[in-house]
Amino acid sequence: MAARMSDWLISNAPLLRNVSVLALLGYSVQLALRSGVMSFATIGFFALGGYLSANLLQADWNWVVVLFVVLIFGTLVALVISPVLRRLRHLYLAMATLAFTLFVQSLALTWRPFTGGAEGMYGVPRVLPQAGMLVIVLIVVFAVWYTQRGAQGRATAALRYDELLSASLGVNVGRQEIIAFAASGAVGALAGFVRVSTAGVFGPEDINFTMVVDALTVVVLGGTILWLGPLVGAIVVATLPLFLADAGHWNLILQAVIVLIVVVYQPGGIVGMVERLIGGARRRLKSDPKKEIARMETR
Amino acid sequence: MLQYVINGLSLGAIYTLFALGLSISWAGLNVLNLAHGTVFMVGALTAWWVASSLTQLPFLAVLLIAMLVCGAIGLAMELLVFRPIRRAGDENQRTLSTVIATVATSALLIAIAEQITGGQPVGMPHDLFGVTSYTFGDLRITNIQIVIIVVALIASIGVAWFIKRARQGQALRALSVDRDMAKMLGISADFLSAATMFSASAIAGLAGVLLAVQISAVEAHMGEALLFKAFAIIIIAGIGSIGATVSAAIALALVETFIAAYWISSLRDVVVFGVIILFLLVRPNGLASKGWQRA
Repeated sequence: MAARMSDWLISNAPLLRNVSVLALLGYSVQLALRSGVMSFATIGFFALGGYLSANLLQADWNWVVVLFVVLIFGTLVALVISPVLRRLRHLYLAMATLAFTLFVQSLALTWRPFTGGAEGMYGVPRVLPQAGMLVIVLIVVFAVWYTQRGAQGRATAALRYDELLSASLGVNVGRQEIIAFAASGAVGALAGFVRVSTAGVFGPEDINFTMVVDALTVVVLGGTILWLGPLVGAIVVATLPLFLADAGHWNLILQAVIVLIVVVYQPGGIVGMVERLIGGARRRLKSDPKKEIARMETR
Repeated sequence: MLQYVINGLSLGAIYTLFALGLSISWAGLNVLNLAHGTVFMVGALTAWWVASSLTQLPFLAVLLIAMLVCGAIGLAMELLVFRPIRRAGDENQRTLSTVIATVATSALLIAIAEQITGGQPVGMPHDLFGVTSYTFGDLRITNIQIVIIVVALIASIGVAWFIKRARQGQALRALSVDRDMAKMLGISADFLSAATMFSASAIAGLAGVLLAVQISAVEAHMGEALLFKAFAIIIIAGIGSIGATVSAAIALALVETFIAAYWISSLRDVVVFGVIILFLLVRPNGLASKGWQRA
């Protein structure tokens, strides 16, 4: 049994890597979103983390050290740009954070000594063991789940629905948003580290517009708020090409159409849809207003 | 020196045409259309396809077809995506859904375009628009550059007049201030939204064709770099102010041209990003923030 399990893990290594990287990107987007920060900066952080890891690993640094350096670097960059957050709302924030990503993309092409230009970085030591990768993902999932509970979770939820009201109820809005954005930056950069240290290559095609779309797809399909969402979304997005193998080039077109349909008609995503179905059935069986409220709060 | 001014002006004219549509759809409909750059590319691609596979059509007809195709895409986005979203959910959810939907639309159009071009840049047929250049002493200007500058001038004056003076333009401003109130006062919000998306996209298509003729190439990702510049322009100018948008576009293009000429070309985007951050920190509403725009 254990042998078969490890065989499966080894033979599906590329698939697992894709799921892990996509899940981390999804959590990076979601961490910001659930505090009401509409951030498109994730791929920018992903690129920074990826190129930094590639350079450090090529200089033969220990991967555990690189992991922490990347986490700290992602957090610091997020903190440096976070003063902008306080001044901006919704669409402006979306535009400013996307401008950050576009800027990093342009930097990746022009700053050749650090990024390898159009060819990218290759031959990076693939030092991260598969178990390490899975543990990283699990830790992030656990952290997201843990912070969505209790007082912290309720403060975040309040922020998402009404910033003014939550401020008047004693939520430190500015601090919450900066923490959320810093966490988003750290996890985004972490995704870059995981990608480089398992794939060994990193280049402009890893951080282009398609990647922005993929990260958003993961969140949209899984659900923008629920903690399990990005993981489910990542599994769907990573396995979608296997099901659509016959579709060939139509793959990308189909993916975009699916996202459009979900965004327009199922804003809760797959997890939201399933939960609503289960919740509906449960409510019909036994209706308990107190439990309903408790359920709403933990979301 | 004066040569760089001419080049900067024609680049600024392209920026103007591109930023105009983005700015109006944001101001009027509260939509940040991240597919705007892709619609721009579709305009260029349509012109390429019509010119290289259909029988010889005059340039004006090709231009018109490309604009109609782009306008139709804008219309489809409003009818199939923005309108259903607008009718459901709370405001935060709606804003988020709309932005993500424009990203997905963009991905869809890029995937289709790559299918058509095979993922490679394609060359614009040279007989579509005979590009010739005139020289005055040391100065060189091409006829397409003149066309671009004139078209941008006419388009910005037209849009400015429409928003300031025309009855429907006033209605659009009312819509941007309070959609529900405007509807109660008898403004047809649905029609106006559809018309705005159609025109904004058609202008993007126009800009796409003109740029493709100037650089004589079409590529599926050609709109993305422009999106970055348009963000900078909107942040500098503020949303919806036509005069400020035109000035910001030309100023940005001139600065970029001079950096490329006298300093290091690859530093252009660094400077542009620096300007974006500076404005966001010091004056996030832009230089000309007026009453009818929201930040």
